[in-house]
Amino acid sequence: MSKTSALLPVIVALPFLASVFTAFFGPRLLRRHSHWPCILATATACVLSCFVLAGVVRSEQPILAGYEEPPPSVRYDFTWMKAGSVDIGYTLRADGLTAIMLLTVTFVATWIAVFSIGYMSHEREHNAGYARFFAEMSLFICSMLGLVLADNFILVYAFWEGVGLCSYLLVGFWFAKPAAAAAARKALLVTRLGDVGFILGILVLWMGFDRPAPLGGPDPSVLNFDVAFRLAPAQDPAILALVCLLFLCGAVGKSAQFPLYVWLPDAMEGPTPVSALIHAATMVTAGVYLIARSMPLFHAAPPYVLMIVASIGAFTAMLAALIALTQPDLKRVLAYSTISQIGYMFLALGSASSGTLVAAAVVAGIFHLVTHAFFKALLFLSAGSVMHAMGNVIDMRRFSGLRYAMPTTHWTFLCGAGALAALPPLSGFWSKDEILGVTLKAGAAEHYPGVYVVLFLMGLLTAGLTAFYTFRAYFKTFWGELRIPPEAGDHAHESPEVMLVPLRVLAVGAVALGFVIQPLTGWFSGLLEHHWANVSFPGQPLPHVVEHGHNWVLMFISSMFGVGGVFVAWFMYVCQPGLPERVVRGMQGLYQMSLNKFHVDEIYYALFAKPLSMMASVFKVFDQYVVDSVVDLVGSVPRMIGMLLRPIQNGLVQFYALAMMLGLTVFLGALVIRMAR
Amino acid sequence: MDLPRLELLIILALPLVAGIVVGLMGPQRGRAIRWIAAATTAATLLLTLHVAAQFMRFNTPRAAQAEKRVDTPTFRPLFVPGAPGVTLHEGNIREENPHGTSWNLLPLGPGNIQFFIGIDGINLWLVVLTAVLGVPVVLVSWNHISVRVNEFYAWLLILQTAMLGIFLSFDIILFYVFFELSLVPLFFLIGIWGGPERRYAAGKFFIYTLTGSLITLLGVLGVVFACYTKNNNELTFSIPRLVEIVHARLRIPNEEERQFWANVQLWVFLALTAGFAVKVPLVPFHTWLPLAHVEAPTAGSIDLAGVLLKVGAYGFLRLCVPLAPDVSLNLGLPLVSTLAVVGIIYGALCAYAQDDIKRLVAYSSVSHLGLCMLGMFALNSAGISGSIMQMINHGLSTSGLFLIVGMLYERYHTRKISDYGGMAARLPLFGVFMTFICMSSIGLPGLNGFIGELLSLMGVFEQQWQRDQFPIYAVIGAFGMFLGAWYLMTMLRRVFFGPLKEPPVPEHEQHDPITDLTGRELTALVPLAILCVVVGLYPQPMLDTMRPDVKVIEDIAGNARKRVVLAAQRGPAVVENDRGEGAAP
Amino acid sequence: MNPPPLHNFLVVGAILFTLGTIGFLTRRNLIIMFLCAEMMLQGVAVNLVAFARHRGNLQGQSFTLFIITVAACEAGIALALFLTLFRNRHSLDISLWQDLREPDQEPNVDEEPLPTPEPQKPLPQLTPAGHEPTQRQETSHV
Repeated sequence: MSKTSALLPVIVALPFLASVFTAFFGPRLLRRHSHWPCILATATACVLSCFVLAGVVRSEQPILAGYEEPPPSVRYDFTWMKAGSVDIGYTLRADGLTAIMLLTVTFVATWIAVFSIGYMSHEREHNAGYARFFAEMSLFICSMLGLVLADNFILVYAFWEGVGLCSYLLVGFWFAKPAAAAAARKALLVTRLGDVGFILGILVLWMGFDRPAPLGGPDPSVLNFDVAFRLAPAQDPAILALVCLLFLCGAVGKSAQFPLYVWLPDAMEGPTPVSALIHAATMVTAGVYLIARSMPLFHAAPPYVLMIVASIGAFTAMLAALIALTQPDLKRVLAYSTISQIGYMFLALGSASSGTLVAAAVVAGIFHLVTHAFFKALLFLSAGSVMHAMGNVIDMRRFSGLRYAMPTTHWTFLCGAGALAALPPLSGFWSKDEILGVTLKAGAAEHYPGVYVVLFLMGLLTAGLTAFYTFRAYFKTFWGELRIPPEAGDHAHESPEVMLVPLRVLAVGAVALGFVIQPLTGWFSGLLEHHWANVSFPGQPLPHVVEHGHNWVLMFISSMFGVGGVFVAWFMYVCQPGLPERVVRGMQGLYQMSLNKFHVDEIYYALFAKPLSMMASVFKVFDQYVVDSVVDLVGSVPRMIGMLLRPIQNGLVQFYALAMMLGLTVFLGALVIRMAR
Repeated sequence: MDLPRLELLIILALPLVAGIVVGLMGPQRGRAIRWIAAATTAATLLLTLHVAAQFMRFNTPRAAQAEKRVDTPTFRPLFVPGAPGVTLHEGNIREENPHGTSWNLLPLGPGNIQFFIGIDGINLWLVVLTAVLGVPVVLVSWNHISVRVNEFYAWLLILQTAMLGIFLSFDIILFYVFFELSLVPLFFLIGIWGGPERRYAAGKFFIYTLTGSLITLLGVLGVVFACYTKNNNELTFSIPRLVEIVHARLRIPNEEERQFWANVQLWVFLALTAGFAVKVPLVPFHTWLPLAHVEAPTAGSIDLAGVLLKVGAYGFLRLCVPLAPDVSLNLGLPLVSTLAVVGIIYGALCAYAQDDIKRLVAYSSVSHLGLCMLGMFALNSAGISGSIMQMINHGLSTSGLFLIVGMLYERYHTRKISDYGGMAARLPLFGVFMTFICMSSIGLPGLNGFIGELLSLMGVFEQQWQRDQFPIYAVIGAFGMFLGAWYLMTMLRRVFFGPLKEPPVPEHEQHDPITDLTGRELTALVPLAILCVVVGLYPQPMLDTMRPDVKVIEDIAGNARKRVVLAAQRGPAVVENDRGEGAAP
Repeated sequence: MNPPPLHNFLVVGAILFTLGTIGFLTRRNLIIMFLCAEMMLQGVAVNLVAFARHRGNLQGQSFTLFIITVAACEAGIALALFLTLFRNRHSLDISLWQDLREPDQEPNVDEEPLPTPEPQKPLPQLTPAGHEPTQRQETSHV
């Protein structure tokens, strides 16, 4: 047991050391080989994660690292901060949920890093840039692993911000491009806005959670997961609701849901492997992970909290799908599809409205997270391969018909697109089906059934839209006549092997993984149930509810939506190439709204950014001319008094003598009057 | 005299002596002067670190003793030179007498002004910070100052002594003397070697701060005199003893005594606040700061922002709260917290709109120190520890910012953001360090800024939550973290990222080709960066050393809270026992 | 006959003092101003002597001697000062000396300028001995 718990800090430390090593020694020492520390560290972390998984499966309790005395009486090996009522240590934990996330993150990250060797090859001439990329990528992987391994909320917050920092650095990698620099800043600021909510939620949790009688009062170690989850059911529902809503605020920011999703499409300015890693597979799932991890809190909170989570998820899914219908840029389509799919995950988690559904909901959400990691990373990497071949052009209107020019990329993209569109029997189908299933069950449960039914219908409709826009992108890129933009030059051929191997591996995952780990073996849900749910909900035995009977009707309907969407796309983009323009001309208003992303960016600018900036200018002028003037006014009072008194010095002797006499008179008069009294 | 006491004296005296020597050397011998200054500051730093290491050894016994003294809290500094009264307790624990030393400077009637300096948990790290910042200050002025070099370094070293003296003194008049003394070198530094409007800036800075501190002097004398009249005509100027007296008198249940002290505390608090509020600076007394920073040379800015702003906060912590606890709780808490919160938002918004990088950093100081004061007036362990950590961390990160801006200015002679663009392509190391320091400043976890901000926020939150008030201060403080990211990231993007736009350098000012960071500049920056990381990841030793003395202030505040609660509950005829708990007759 | 009551003498002293004050403050001629100042001193002296006589001892009179002495010294200094001032501006008018005023104050000028003295006719001169007279005939009739 202790051996496995010693692995946990190693998993976090390896990529960090790789990052530091690459940062300091990369430009001079490693040069063109700067990718090796990153890849070695991530691959080793992946292997170690397998060991962790084995350890988790073997034991009933989660594996904890960093405790001298575990909860409920908490003492740490290494205290981070301890002052007054604050007591935070460096502690890590591994249970079923962690193990799944670890494996997913490390596996996908390793293959993305391998892909980046080929993608960033033209950076190799600039040694510093190449090393910088891999150093930042390693740091990101370290932060993400720390996030899923952390055992208290402040540590999660710390790695949360770390992930945000690395995303800032990586999106702004080509910092000389103004669009990239602006996108990086926007990403950091929008997520930071969510983080304000997150930290306030943590503070409310810290102070608001009371220990049970007879001790009473706040518990300083409530920031540890075990302590918090143990205390959760006995707390005031209003406090729980506040905490959960604030956590949701943070999750919405990091996972790019409405209303804080605006940073993700802009973040496509970064290199494509960055988009694959950060914005498809890992960082944006941090919010989903947070809600899944805090499910005991959400479960103990009033039911409207989860209903809000689900509603935000479904609404965002639909909104993003509507926007993705018209985007001409392939990466943007994928970005909006990410937002949409994460909306699905939120929908799944939000359907945990009753005790019987909790396990199923979390299973559905995390299952989709895992499959989404694979197929979305695959899609992004394929898009990267296309971009690499097309000379950094990614506007779909400028190339087409690439299936014969780039066969491997074509087939892998098709696998990913199929998984995204949830076509059976690819993995995306199984996970989306689970989500829709659990939403439907929530629609029959006790809390807000009507709402969940509506959300279910929205989810179903969005599935159709997803299939449509995915295959629209596919057909526009790979079918039709062969057109290559001039920037491609002589690049327009299949990518090198170093970029194709990851594509193939991820394609296998996108196709087969979903079927294998859940419907076939039930391994996934078993892992979460036995090694996460029973630990996180102590004292409440959750009924074993993940049924392995499938709702065939639902599967049929959802696959019909999916196939229907594909068919419409095929019809519009392959059979009748002129049809799209005619449709657009007919629905010009809606089309423009979708193309302009419903003007959300402009609304935000007008509502928040511009007024804030104007307020800043007003304050600046106010400070310089009003506040400062008051100070100067006070400072000029002596001078004013002086100017009043100056005329006394007029140089005339007799005037001075007169003053003396008058003063003497006053003095003597006062004296006389005094003595007369 | 044993080693730590001797070291304290040397730490205080060495820069002064070196400053005088350097000043007398004449402006021609620039190289020798610079090396002497660098050696002096390095030696001071080493001695300070040694003293800190020795202090940390005494941590556990002091913590144990602080636990026992909830009812008689006062400061108990260690390493006081001059043979103070020492009592030996069980377990061979030495306890220092809070009355002071035997080194009397000036006999005044029945009492003396003593040369009472010492180290305790609160000022230890501020002294270390001052010493740490001494070295980059000398290094960054190496090539920048070429006229009247001897005077520059002389004033710089004298300023170092003054700043160290402020933090080290435990005699209230000595504190005040050093407090005023620190204004003079800075006045000359700004006024002679500063920017175009240096005379105006230096004058404004000096007179504004002086006005505040003269009012503080009134407060100081007031409290000394109040203690004199009420305590058997014992005239003492020692801060620990004054705190003890005030606290003892406040526990007396006599109505007239209570009335007297309520009045005295009010005026003392207002008077002391006046001076320190200008120094912190609390909005609206902050307008001297942007001007002074913009016009000061880089060394002056670093000393001003890194240390002298902390003096105001330190004064609040050391003098205002312990000597006027009830008023601090009733009036000071809402007043200072409101001003601090306004400062956070106002400072951040003003910073966003600036075009001059140094002005931006000046307003960011207003914002950060607002958070520091917020944490301090939470008056609980978390908040006060967070406040002190925020002081230190702000010192480190803002000094880093000013260092980089100063180095940029040395190359391009402009500080306007609109002149720069995409500099990270031209000066990559600059970009790296600037990004790093900005991350530290906005409170990225893992770096030092996070510790202070988080602890302050938690302290404020706890204090308001426990009073069943809506934690509005914590909410605004957290929003302030967002605003901090906003303006710093915007500045970073405009100056360092984007298409390259180098400002043109006039021919006559360009001496060398523009290079990235030189070895000397790296020597100044890298230790600060390393400290940022170390403090961010492992702040616990610092927090542990602070704990006994922070507990002193927390106990003072706790006793004040009990008194306030009782005063609210009390009818006119309740008799209190010694612990301040009321019982109906 | 009764000796005159005290207040008579005090009134005399007061009158002298007042006249002296008024004269000092109003006259423009340096010498007259000085004489008025002396008159103020004499008024004080009369006061002192009156009180000495009233009280029957000589303390007042001895102090009067001091005052007279001081007045004499003061006269010497004052006349030396006036001589210097006269050499500078060739006039004994005190309103010419306003140079010690504040820099931005306007000088006090008379609303009606003083009458300029008539230019003096040049005094007759005798031809120096041993020189031919320039004029053949006498023009002055002395």
